[in-house]
Amino acid sequence: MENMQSRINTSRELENFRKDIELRYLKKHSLFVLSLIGIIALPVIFMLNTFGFSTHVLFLYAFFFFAILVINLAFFAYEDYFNSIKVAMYINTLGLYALSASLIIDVKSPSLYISIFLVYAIVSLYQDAKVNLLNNIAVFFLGVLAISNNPMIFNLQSQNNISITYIYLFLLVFVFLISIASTVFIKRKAKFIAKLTEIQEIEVRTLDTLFELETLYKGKKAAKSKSYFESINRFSDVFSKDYGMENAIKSKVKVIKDLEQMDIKEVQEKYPNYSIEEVKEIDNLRLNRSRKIRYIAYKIGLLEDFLIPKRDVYSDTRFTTLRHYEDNRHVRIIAFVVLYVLLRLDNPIFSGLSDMEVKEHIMSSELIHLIDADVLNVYLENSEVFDRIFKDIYREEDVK
Amino acid sequence: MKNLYRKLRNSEFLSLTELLKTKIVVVLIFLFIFGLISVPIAVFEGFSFDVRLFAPISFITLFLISLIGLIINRVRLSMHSTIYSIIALTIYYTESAYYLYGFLLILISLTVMIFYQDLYTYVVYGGGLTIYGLFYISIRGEALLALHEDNVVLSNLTYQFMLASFFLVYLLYFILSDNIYSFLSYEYLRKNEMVKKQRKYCLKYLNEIDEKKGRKPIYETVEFQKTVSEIGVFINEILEKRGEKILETIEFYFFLHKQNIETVLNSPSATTLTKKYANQLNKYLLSKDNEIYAIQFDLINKYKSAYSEHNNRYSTRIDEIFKDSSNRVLALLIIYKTLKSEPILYDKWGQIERSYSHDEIIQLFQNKEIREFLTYEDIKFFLKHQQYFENYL
Repeated sequence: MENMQSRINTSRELENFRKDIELRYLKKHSLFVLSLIGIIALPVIFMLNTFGFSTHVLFLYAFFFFAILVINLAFFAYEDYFNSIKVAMYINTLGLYALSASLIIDVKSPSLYISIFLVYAIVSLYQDAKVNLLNNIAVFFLGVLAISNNPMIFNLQSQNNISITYIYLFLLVFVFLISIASTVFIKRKAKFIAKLTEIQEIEVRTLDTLFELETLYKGKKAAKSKSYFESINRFSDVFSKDYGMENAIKSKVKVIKDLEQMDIKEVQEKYPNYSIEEVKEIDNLRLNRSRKIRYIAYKIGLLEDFLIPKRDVYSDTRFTTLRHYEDNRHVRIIAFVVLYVLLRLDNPIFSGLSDMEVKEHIMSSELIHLIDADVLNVYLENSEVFDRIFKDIYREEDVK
Repeated sequence: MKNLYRKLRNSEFLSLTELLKTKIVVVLIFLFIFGLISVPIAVFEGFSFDVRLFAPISFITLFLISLIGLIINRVRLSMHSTIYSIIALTIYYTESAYYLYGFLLILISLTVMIFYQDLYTYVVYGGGLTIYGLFYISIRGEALLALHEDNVVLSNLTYQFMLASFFLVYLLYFILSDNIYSFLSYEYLRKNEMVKKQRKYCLKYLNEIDEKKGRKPIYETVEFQKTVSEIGVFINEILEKRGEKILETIEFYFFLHKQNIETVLNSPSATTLTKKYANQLNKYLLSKDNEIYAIQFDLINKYKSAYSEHNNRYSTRIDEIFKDSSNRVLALLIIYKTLKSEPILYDKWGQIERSYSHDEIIQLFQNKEIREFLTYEDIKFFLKHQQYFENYL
């Protein structure tokens, strides 16, 4: 039960982490879109004025821009920042298409038909999957409706008659290409964010595995808490004496020592001047393998010679894959077979999987995309042969 | 077609080169259909003779270059060539009497450049084409007026405003995208380097445990080599008929485990093919950390019960975890003591048996990456009182 609660909390923390990254971009991109709406307000009003529209119409358009601005500011001020910005995004998208439609209807100029493409461009700045879908649908339908309801706007003064079918064709090509481009980009961005989120947890767990292996290898507890706290007390005694300060560290060390024997609630009862939250904070200072401070100290220790390969920022090599573009087929086969056999074998911290489990893991994870498709097909269609070969050679009874 | 759809659907798992190839195929299909519809018909329409001759020839030539480039794996050449093809098609139309088609094709050409999502390509070709479009409207603006319109200046300005804004908004889109990619990619690499370092330590301990128990490394065992060979031959038999052809590569793979890869790659006696294979297999050698281990560790980590700490699980800054200032000082003392007492570093015999010296800790605390853990105030406190740290911890 406790383990399940821990998993739920972990996924909640991961979800919050993902939301934090998304929010960072959402805020930035929303501000850009809002600024662009503000920038186009002036030319639109100027154009309508030059076309000779009445003050009443000009006022309505000005009110529209003002309303968009006020609505956005209201949503930005809202407490649930993430969701309110998303709502503002949809309002702005629909608002911009409504603006474009009314301009086409009011002015009836082919030059304003192009405004739907400009609106598409502005909305695509959000780089959000759902808004992108709405954007694609809106540009297509508005484009079709604008042509079918106002075909006379394409009756040009030039000698050649314009075929409306060609305009439809242009619209179709535009929507087709641009929707693929934006969808591909958004999917890749989502994968990046998912990977960055996922690696937070991978890091925590890998370090935990490292502590487990260290203990297995060295056969002892990693930290000697007694000697730690003796020297920390010595430090705090001298330090507080030299600076004429109260020794706040020593009392905390006592609490930490008690936390090694008792649970948080009991310790809080023993030290009523500390709240439960304060005791929980002190609990993070325990030297136990599963506590935060050890995790941080070890990570700092691994910073020696820490170099980030900056040349890889724009390269393809950042994500794990067994399907490298440049690899020969034989090499791709070897990569998969080695992985398969490794997954089947036991090691000190891992109990090897059965063939069925390997297959399930491949099918349920992104591994399915990381293995050469032809090689994977051979495996999926003949996994019992793989299993037979493996079992024939590794005849041990404990092989699954 | 099915394969193309599958690739586009799973585009996030394609490498950049594969993605570019897929995009080129899409553009080539579009160009082929568009060229097939428009070029033959338009030959009889109002073009000057040189345009009627030059534009289709250049379009067909460029189309063929793109196609050949794609086949022989010159993807960048192929991409540029498709862009030149669409530009040729655009010029072809803008020179005709179909002025609106010409203008719309300028937009479509920009869309093709956007489709490739390459900032520099977009700036150079897209910028050039936008400037051409602005001039085109100045010259041909009158022909783009609707029958009921009379203000040519306003109409021209509207067309030009729309075109220039479209280009600029997408330029902003690319700058923002580039910014997102570089930030996310850098952050991912930073985390991944830390995970790689941790995994390297894990593998070291695993090897040491094996050695302690008198076991050979897995890749040196007969069972492992035999299993890999037999399954390898089986797969290759289905894919290439002569399955045993792979055996030579498998033998070479295990042989490489005993070699210094640099020596093989720099050996004057090794053929280009040998070096090519050595380079490709190097990524999967089990004698060092690699992508196979990364996948195996992901699996190990997935099923292990991770430690139960979950508040501030991913935060590593001590000011975020410890609000109380004395707790923060205590955290700093424990970090220092851990670094000074725990064997975290490799010694000269390649064992993880060495801890940090005081001077090394000072250096470490001045590392740029330390800001992920400590604030400027924490470091200042440490540096100011470092003598106490050295003497009493």
